Amino acid sequence: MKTISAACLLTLVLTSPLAAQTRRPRPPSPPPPPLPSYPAFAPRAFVEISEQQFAAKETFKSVFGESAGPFRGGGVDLVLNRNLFVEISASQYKKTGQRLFRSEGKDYRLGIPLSVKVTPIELIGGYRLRLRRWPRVIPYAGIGFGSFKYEETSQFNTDEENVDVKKKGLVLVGGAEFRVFRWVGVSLDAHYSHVSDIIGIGGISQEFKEDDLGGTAARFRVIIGR
Amino acid sequence: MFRSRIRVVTSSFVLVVGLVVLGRGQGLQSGRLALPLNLPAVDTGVSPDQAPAPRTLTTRSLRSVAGDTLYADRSGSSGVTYRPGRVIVKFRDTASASTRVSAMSTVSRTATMTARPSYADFDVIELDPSENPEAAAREFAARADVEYAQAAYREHAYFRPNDPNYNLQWNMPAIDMERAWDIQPGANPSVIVAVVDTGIAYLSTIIRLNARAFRLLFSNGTSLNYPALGLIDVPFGAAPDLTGPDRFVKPHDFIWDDETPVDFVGHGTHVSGTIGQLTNNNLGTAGIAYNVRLMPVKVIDDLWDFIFGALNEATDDIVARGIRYAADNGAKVINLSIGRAGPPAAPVVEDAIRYAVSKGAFVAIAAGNDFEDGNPLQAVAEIASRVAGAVSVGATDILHNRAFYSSTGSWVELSAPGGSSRGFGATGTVYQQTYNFNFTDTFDPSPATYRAPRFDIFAIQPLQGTSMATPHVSGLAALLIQQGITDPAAIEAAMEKFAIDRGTPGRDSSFGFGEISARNTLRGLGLSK
Repeated sequence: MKTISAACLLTLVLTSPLAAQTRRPRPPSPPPPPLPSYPAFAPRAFVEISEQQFAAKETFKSVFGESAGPFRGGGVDLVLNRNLFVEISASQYKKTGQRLFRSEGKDYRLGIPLSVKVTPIELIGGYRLRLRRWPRVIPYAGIGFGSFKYEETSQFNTDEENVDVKKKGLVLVGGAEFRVFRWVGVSLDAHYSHVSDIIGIGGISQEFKEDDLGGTAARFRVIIGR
Repeated sequence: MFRSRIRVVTSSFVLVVGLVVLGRGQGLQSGRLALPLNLPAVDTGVSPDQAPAPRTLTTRSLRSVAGDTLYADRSGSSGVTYRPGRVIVKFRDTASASTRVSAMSTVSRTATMTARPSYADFDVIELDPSENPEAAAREFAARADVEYAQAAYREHAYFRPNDPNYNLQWNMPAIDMERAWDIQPGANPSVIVAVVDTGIAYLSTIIRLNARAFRLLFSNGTSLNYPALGLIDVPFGAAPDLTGPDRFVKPHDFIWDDETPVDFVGHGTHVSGTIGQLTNNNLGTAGIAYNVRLMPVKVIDDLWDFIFGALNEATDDIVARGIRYAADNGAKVINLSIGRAGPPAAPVVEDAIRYAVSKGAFVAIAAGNDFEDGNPLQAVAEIASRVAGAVSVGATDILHNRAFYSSTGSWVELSAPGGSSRGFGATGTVYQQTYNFNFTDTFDPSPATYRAPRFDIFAIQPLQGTSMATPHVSGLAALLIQQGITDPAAIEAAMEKFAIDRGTPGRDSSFGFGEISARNTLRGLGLSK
């Protein structure tokens, strides 16, 4: 981190006077450093935390009082030939709210605890860019699918009234990884998921006509491996 | 709206005709005087000539013995309640004693095992109550020497009241009341339900009244003359299964223009029982919202009111004043098991209902009992269909069919058990505590046996009618208010949404949106189901 900061500062110091000396020919920029060597086949592990804005905003807000929530999890990925990657991850969102009734735009919370667990297992493949100028920064983008397990229980429920279903959904991801050390990196990305056929067919989600259990998330990862 | 007691339904009609012919003002001066005497009411149990033989309760509520718990129950992540400080573990048969001790010490330093209980192939491990038994159970379960482990989750019977005559009340399970009580056990006294009716047996006293002579005319042209009894001291009792400390609030009598709305016929008392009969008290029957406070508002007169020379009769203006009184004095639910056929309309009543709803009171109105009498429009019930926050209630029988008498029409919005003796006898009617009619209907069957009435002797009586259906809705409304749905329009919307569709699919003129489902309504909606 210090190295990057120093490099940025140095770049600013050097480029400002140059901008004023327009008549002087620009010296040729130094050649970018060569990319560090990288194995053709690099397995890595990561832990992640994300904050997801659920697509079913009104539904989650009514039940839990907020339309966003954290997922925590981890996984492994495999970088192939420096640029391609494939990853598998699992995470979980867990929250307890209340059952409710909605009438004329007003929610009446009934004081009956309702707990929800969303557990996605995602398989994503994608492409990583290697920038010669900023070798520690690796932008990436990927697409894949997830198996989303959704569990909903409430006090007073019978077994038949509890929900435990699994559906597949689309996943898109894009962001950048920053190599902190040779074996440690962090990444920050935007994650989009779309999961239908779990909500929107009953309960308050049907009232809101919201049928997507996915959403948009900001994910932060700590990666162990090259 | 009466369907009254099944054995006198015809003669009541004749009596009313007689009253109209006789008019008022005959005999001695009207008025009444409460004497400073207070005698206990007498409970004679189930009305012996109509009720089926009592059956033995096979299930009793566990709620009444739940007080032996050392620590308050807690809820786990699943929402299921468990007993703190206890884990149930089944070790594999191959696990030695030392392995078991080792397992316990690994999971928790506070874990101790008591002697294996009888009839168990598992062990019960005690932990410090502050520890999480679900987490401990997971740790045990993960071990190779453990077959299963779980927290000691609370089991309970669906709340079934221990009232000895509860077994007569098919109407409670019919709307899933037992499971509803698990969610919301009887509301609390902050919820006031006004019973705008014939009064309530809420007071133990003796009232000196002047019983005038009167004549009954029968439809076949004959008549019976009843002599004046003169000034008599009439005993009144508070219904034993209805009365508790601070149970009644702001009583008012618009028939006698005073603050003593005692019941001369037993209708309002029976209706009040369905709403709020004391429950799980080892006495009589159960009521739906058994912890609420009741507001007796008398707006309906009957034969004894006439004989004793009441000042007013049940007219639209009296009913309207009663509704407004209830709303102004804090009622959150107003039960109107009353009504009349129409047209003409009753704008004074409609204004009063709209006023009550605007003050935050939910209003339940009987849909009428005139299906077999030409099925006329019901002037009061019909108002409900135009007011969000007021509902008209039809009656269902023990098989969830429309009761034979229950009026039909576009104004019917909901239905609830009103009972039906047709095909089912008294078993198919609605039982609650009210007067023992042997002591109140002393004009029946003839002047030879006519004597002063007593309103202090009670029995569990089988009645039927949309009058009996309506208090189911009022009781449920009280529970919903306690549960958090306070707006009258929202209460109506909730009941209609969760009603169980009966008859023709969708809303129909017999059941409205369907028969109320107490448990479903109180439970509301989850996220996805």
